Amino acid sequence: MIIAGSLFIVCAMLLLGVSVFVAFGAVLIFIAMVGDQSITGYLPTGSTGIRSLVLLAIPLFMIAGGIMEKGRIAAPLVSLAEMFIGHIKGGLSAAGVLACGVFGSISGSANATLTCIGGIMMPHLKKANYPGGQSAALIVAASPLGLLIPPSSSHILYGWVAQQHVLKCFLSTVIPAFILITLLIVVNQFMLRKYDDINLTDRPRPFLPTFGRQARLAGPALMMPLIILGGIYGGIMTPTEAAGIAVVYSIPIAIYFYRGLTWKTLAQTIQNSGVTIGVVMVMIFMVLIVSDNLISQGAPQLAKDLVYSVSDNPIVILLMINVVMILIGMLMDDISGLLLATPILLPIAQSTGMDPIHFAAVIGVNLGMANITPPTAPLLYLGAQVCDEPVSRMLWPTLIFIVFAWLPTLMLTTFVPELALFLPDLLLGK
Amino acid sequence: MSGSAHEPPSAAGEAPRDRQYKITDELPVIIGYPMKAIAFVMRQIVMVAGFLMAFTFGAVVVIRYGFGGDLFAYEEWLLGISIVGFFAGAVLASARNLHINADILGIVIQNPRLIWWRGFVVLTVELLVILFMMYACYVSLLDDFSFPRLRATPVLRIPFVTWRIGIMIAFGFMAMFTAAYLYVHIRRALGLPLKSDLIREAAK
Repeated sequence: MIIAGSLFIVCAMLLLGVSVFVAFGAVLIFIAMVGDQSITGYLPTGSTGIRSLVLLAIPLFMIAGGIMEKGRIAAPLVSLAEMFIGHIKGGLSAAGVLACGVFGSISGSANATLTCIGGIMMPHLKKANYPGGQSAALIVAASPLGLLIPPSSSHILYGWVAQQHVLKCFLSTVIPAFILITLLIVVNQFMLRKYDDINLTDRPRPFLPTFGRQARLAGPALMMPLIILGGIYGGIMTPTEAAGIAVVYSIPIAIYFYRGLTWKTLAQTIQNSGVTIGVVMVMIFMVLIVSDNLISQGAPQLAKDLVYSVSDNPIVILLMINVVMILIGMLMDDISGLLLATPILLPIAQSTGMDPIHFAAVIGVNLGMANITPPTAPLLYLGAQVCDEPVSRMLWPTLIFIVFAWLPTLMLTTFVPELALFLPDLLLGK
Repeated sequence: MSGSAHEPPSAAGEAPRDRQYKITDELPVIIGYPMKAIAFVMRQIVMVAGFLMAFTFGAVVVIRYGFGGDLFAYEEWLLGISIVGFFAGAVLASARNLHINADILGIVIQNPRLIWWRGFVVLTVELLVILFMMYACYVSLLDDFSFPRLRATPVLRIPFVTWRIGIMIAFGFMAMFTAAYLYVHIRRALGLPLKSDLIREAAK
């Protein structure tokens, strides 16, 4: 009764349009009214939950992402990618996808990736006569690469909730991310075949002096993932310390090297990042309390019984898990979705023999896809603003990218565990 | 979902807010000024907490590898300050109406009357839920204070209630800003003039 009521309330509230954290708060009122638990436990549960050093990596990466976004750090990365493949048909849009991947590995944020790369790439793409709606849809479809290529906030959160090795979680989506990059480029290339008026003549061609200059410009930005990932995987720093170092490193290069920020605008950037952090952390606070209450009501076992009443075939169960996660992702943001889905769905996945690190990859790809899947699709609407294209022109190409790039990646990640487990096992042992 | 920091959304169902007008500008001066002061203090807390988190972790790495030392029990005070910083950010998000929501009905509903009623229901629900959270925090704090000794961090003995009080106050401020949006929403429906509209008309 409590579990069904809670799910109904959260869905009804989200459909009505109340803020996500309030929707969970409404569930807490319902639990307080019909359940036998005292409300005195809400504050300690939430505040003890968010009082975590591991979790502190998320706001720090958000600040670093905010500094990079405003600090013009993306422009040289885009130029470098353009230099290599910008002169071939479809190359410029492929450069955009690659730039999303590289910037994602720096910022760990899909929003920051979309804002930076979309803002820089779209004028170039439009100037070269690339179809606007399709190009914007491609950048939108590629922006969740920031969630798949390490470091990723959602993996930090998953590792923390599921009590798993965060570094293994980071590595679990690397191969799926490369598959996704390849599929996005191939699908886009196929869709571009009917466009003959794409202008290729003024694309920069790769030659040594230009390469040297562009590499020098992009160098400090490219050093960032090396420092972060080298530090983490070299055992020098924890992810949280690496996130702190990412902020400390990004400040001088944004101010003195790329000159995209001043000390005054830096303060403004940190304030704006602080607001985004506040939005995320208050959601985490609420979801933790709801999740704790639902677990104590036996929600994981109920969900498991429900799933097994339909089928005990592992393939069917994994497909059902994917459908549920897509639905969750379509209704709420990736952080809340992950916090709510992990404690309930992980035991079911494990009962089919799935490794928790493999599940990290599945949930990562799923929630990345949910960010661009209508009707809610936060990145789609943000992309329409950033790329200055109406959503109506982006909708169809976005669906094509979802069906022919994201879904195959999700299915491969779900049913070929080696794709998720190969790198973690190779680099960190079983 | 709308409402990321990149896209200031409207109060539910309204046209996007003009960026130069803050919600506090629309309130009577006696309420608007204290709320402006609250927003100012929150901005400072967010900034200090942000810098402190980053530089502390930078310092931890430098001290460890540069000097072979350790920043003693830094996590105890840093986590407390961070939590206060997080909730100050959440207050600012309420002040700027930036909390994430799934705006599905906003796409479907076209009737202005329905749009207004939906906005009214959303803001009322938000206000009630936030007030409930504040009450839940208050009850919990009463429980904390009922113990003869306050529970505290193991090394520096910082009482847990320090940041828990901060959370309760933050919910209070969030409720105030949500109520301000509700006030403006009702004024608009009653056809009462808003300061931003008057200034815009004067500018025309």
